[in-house]
Amino acid sequence: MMSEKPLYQRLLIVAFLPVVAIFVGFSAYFYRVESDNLVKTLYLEQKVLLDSLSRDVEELTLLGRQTIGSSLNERLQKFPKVCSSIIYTPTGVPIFSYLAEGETFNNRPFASLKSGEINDGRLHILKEYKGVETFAYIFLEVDLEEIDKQRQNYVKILSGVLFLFFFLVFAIMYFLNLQIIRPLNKLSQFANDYHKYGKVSELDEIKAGGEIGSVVEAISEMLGEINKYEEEQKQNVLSLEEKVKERTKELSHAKDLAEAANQSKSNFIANMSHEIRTPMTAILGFSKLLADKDDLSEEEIQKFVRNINDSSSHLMAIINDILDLSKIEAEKLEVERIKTSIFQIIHKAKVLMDKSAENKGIDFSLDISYPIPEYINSDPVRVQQILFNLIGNAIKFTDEGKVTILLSMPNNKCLEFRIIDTGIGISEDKLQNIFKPFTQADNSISRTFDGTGLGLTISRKLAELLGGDLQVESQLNEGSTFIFSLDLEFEPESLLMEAPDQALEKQEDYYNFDVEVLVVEDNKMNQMLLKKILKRRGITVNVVNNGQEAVDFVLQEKQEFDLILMDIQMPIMDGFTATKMLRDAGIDKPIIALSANAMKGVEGSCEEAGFDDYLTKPIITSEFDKALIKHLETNESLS
Amino acid sequence: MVGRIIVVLFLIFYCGCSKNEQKTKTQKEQFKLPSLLLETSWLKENLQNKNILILDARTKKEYLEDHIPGAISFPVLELNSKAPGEEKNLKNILQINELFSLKGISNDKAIVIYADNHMRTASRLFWALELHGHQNTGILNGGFSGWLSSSYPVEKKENLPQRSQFVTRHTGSVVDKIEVNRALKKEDVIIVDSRSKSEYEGKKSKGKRKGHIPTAELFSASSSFSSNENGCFMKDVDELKSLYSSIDKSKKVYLYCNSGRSATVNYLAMRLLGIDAAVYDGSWLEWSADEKLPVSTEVE
Repeated sequence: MMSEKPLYQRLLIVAFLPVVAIFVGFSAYFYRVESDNLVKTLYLEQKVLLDSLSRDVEELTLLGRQTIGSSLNERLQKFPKVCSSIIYTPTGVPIFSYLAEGETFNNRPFASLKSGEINDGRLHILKEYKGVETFAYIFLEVDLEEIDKQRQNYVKILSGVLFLFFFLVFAIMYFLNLQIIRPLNKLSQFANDYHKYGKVSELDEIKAGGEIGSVVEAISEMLGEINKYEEEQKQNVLSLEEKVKERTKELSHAKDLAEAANQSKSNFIANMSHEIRTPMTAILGFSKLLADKDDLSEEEIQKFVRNINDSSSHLMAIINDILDLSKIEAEKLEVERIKTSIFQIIHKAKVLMDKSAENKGIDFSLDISYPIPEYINSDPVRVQQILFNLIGNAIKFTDEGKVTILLSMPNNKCLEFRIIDTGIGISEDKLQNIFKPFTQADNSISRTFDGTGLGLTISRKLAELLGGDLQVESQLNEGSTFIFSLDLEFEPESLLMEAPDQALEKQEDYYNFDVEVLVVEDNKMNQMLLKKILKRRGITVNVVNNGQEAVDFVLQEKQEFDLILMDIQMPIMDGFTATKMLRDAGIDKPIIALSANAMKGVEGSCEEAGFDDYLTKPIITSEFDKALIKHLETNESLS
Repeated sequence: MVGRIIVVLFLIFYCGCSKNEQKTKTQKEQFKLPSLLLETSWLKENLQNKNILILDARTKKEYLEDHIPGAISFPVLELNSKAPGEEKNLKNILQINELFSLKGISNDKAIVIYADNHMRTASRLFWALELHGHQNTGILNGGFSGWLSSSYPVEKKENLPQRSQFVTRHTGSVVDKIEVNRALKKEDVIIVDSRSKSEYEGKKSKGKRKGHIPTAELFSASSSFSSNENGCFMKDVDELKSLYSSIDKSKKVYLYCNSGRSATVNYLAMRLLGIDAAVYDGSWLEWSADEKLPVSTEVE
């Protein structure tokens, strides 16, 4: 109940009313005690005076002389505030009275008289005079007017103080109201308004000092913060919505992309199966025809074998592409940094592609703007792969006109191949997609033009791995220019100012080794291929069919040899086991692994088994030569 | 709400303080005589007034012959003391108190006194009553003779008084020789000799010595009233004023004669003039007998 009342009333009840009540109670008590004291004092005073009257009263009652009357009168007159006095005989008969001026005699029965009684504002005093025995009684009626006046003075003073106190209380209340309650009310009004209608009045209007002032200030600051916070929230919500929109857009885009990628992959798989199936069908068909070779002429046989070889090469190319791509995807494709002859590569490309261009009836030219370094530090195989791919594409997509290779150094740290064709070109919207995996400018193109669609993807990735770039400029139906650049480090003295004729001639020469090589290979075709390649290089060749035979050949027959070429996957005994056995037997001659398993990881296993080097099948003659030079020369120098 | 609390507090406060504030004086309206001297015609009209007690100051014998109807006999000599040597003096206060009570005199009754021939009989009773505090006393001007001359009814039957309770309220208008002797040196007291001129001058005396109390002035009582066959009358106030013109009203007057009876006539005159007076009851008989007291024969 207390808490529902306004603050100032609570203050009044709690703080001031008890004080006022105590004050009033005390005043009343003080007044009572003080007025009683006044009466008591008067009573005692009168009694003392009456004592002094004893002799006169005695004389009156004994002799009653006329003169005693005036004497008594004079004495009683001197008594303060005595209105009347009656002297009684011991039996209670009134015999003498004194009346102050203006008083009338009031005959009171003696028995009714009581000492100390107050009646009609008069104090009654009855005194007994005693000698040997009681000789008289005197009754006094004392006016309390004087005392009343004093009492009234008390009342006046106390009421004055009380009024002063009330004035003080109200002054304090007014001050409190002004300083605390009003600002508090305004504050609560403000809070209500703020709560109901938003900001209505200004907080600054509430003027207060001290604690209330700091409360107002704090609230003002808090409101500022709240407003700021609300603004921020609004902004956040807006930006959040925008972000959500953006993300949704991105997500749907990503979804589209993913769907497109998925679609591409599906397309790719469909393509691949087609691409793989085509040469396989050819191989299977021609090999079946060759099986009945009695019915075939020598010419037909040659044609069938050539067809099978072509198809196999094509199949191999497709599979290599897929392998390369898988390496790229796994980021496990590695490139070498070795001394590479640019001219050899370009020449090779020219020689190889000339035929294709001739077949299609288009010009194919090579234009070199010097100076050009003779050797660069790069991976010749990969560079050649890129160039072959680009030139091949250019020829493939050009039906008339020409294909030109431009080789130049735009600055001394960059080598640039430009493969320019006048073919079908690529529309602008497809231009960037052609480097993405599983994509061709048009899916329908792969039907018209053979290809896995992986060539450009692989080429760009390889170019980047080699520290270069692959870009394209094209106009639909007018032709394309593929720019393959390589950032290089080369020795300035290796710069050629003109074409080295010898370099081109030397290309057809083979290395000559006067050594004996043991070939361990289960496949007869491969045995023949290797025999031919090795014999062309002046090498004496011994062939065994598996690991077991090789071990027997070396350890039991103690045949001479300088190097072993060992296939890894073979029946009876595989390459790993054979090599291990040979190494265990203390054979330290170089053993080079041959494997169709061109996957990463095989290299490590080979090293573990004791192989000195590792070559992939089919044999690339340049690499083959490199390996032979590496291992036989060191061997020679030892012997 | 606050206001209400404050009002309640003040009520409590004043209840505690002002209990005996109000006085209610309810006094019975007393019957008052119109003047100190009353005409016979007035008394005739007020004979039946029960608030009036009529006292016959003459001797009992005279009273029994005939008196005003309803009057009580109060022979003036009954006032005198019976103590030896004080036979001419007033009884003591207690005795007077008892005497007045016996005569049925009470403080709330109006008293009308009458006598005959000489004014001093009635005036002595008048003085005694006033001395003891009876404030509603008057004298029938003309006395019984005046009553008779008006042919008002009389009666012979003795009216026995009903005892009352009189309470003395002494006025102090009596002095003794000590006080008079003291007054000789006082400036504010005039001593008046009420005897005859010859006595004042010391040519003759009823006392042991001749002359008068020093400083006393002579105002014979006989000059304050006149007497004829129609009764004894006080002189009217104008005459008295011129008679006593030499007396300063602000001073107190001590009156004496030979035995204290004639002086009461002059007391009545002083009362009529509003002069404060007291009677030296022992008078010349006592004064002249005391050799220690001074006597003068000088005449101004």
